[in-house]
Amino acid sequence: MTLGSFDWAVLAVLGTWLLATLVSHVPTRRLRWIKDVDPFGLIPGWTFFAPKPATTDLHLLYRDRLDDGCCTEWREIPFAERRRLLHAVWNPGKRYRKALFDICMGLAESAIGSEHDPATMKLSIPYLLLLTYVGSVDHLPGARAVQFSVVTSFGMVSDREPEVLFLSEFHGL
Amino acid sequence: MTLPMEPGQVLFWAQVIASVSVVLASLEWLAAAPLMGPRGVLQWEVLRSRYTFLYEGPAARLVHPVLRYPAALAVPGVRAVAAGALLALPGLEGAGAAALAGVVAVTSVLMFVRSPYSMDGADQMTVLTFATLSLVHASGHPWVREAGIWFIAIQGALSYSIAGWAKASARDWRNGRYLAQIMATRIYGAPALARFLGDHPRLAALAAWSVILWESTFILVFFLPEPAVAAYLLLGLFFHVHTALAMGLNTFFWSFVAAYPPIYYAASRSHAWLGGLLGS
Repeated sequence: MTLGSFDWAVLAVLGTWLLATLVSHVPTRRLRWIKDVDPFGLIPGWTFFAPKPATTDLHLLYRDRLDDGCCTEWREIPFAERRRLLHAVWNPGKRYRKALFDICMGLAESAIGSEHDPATMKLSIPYLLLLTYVGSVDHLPGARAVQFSVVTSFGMVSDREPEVLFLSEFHGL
Repeated sequence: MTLPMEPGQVLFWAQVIASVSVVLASLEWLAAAPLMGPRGVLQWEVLRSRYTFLYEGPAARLVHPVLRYPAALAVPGVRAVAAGALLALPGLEGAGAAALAGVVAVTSVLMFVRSPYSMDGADQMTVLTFATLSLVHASGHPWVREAGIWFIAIQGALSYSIAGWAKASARDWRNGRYLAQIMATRIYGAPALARFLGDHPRLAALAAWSVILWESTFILVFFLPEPAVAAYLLLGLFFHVHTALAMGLNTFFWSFVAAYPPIYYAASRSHAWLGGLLGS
């Protein structure tokens, strides 16, 4: 049974896909572009929780500036819920938690990174997503502007004080 | 060594297990629909500005009506229906199976296009598995079927080994500290387990080394005899049940265990070839 042109094309696709997977995992910055040019999520990242896993919790907080110029207390938008046995089978909440975690982590990483530039930071996707999100939650009557912050804490069994990773400007509501 | 299953059966079981993962993940997305809504964090109007092609041009005109809210909810909806149909029609082959698997693959990719945030390794495995199943069903050639099985098997084995090698390269993975710290996080942890590992650092190191050794040597299944391959896969089941219970990674179980029939088949084939080579 000879291979037709479609069969050859399938073999070429699978071979190229496997090769791209292998090459993208070579630990060098020079090959990082392979992931960057993949908007479709086709090249998998198989380095789960390694080499440096997320060992801290992230928290998203916001506060309002009111008509009179005073600021409200910081309020946290919770995104971690207590683990339940049911989550081993049915866990829709993980989408919300991971989305917020990934976005906060993306913002924190670019804030810490050498490419940090306050002007361009405000145009980054994580910044805009978080700003839109904190703008959409409930605010006090008279709130004129909102500011948000990403804070890291050091796990459920640590008494180390949380640290601020990122603090936004105030933005009009 | 006798082969455990025919290639058709191998792909059938991979498809059944992966379809369970897709139905589950899609229903979870629908249950988490407010995430994509007007007050959710995954705002399409912001997310589409990641790439020019999502904002203007023919591709944008094609995907924008599909990925904006609430139309975007149809993506996991259609995905669940297609995977459900594959489960409900187990004898389906050829163009019908190719089309349904293709719908699952394309809608899975659309979820990545809408937002890379919140997507995980289980979602990536789903894309690989269903794209392969679709192409294999469409071709029907036995060599392509064999290649599809090997592709899923190697990707599955690589996923473990690459994760294991990356962990082995980090000192705090080797001494168990990272494992205890992950368990102490609210997002992936379990307080009781975190306290236990924190109080017993040697056990934490032992548990971390067990994961590192099992993961990093997984690729060897293609060179090991059948009982050893079965042992690796049984450890894999234990690993995924544990991560589902302790970390809430429920869809990882189905997405990665779907690769086990191909891994078992490919390992048996490989071992038979190696035996033939050494015997000749």
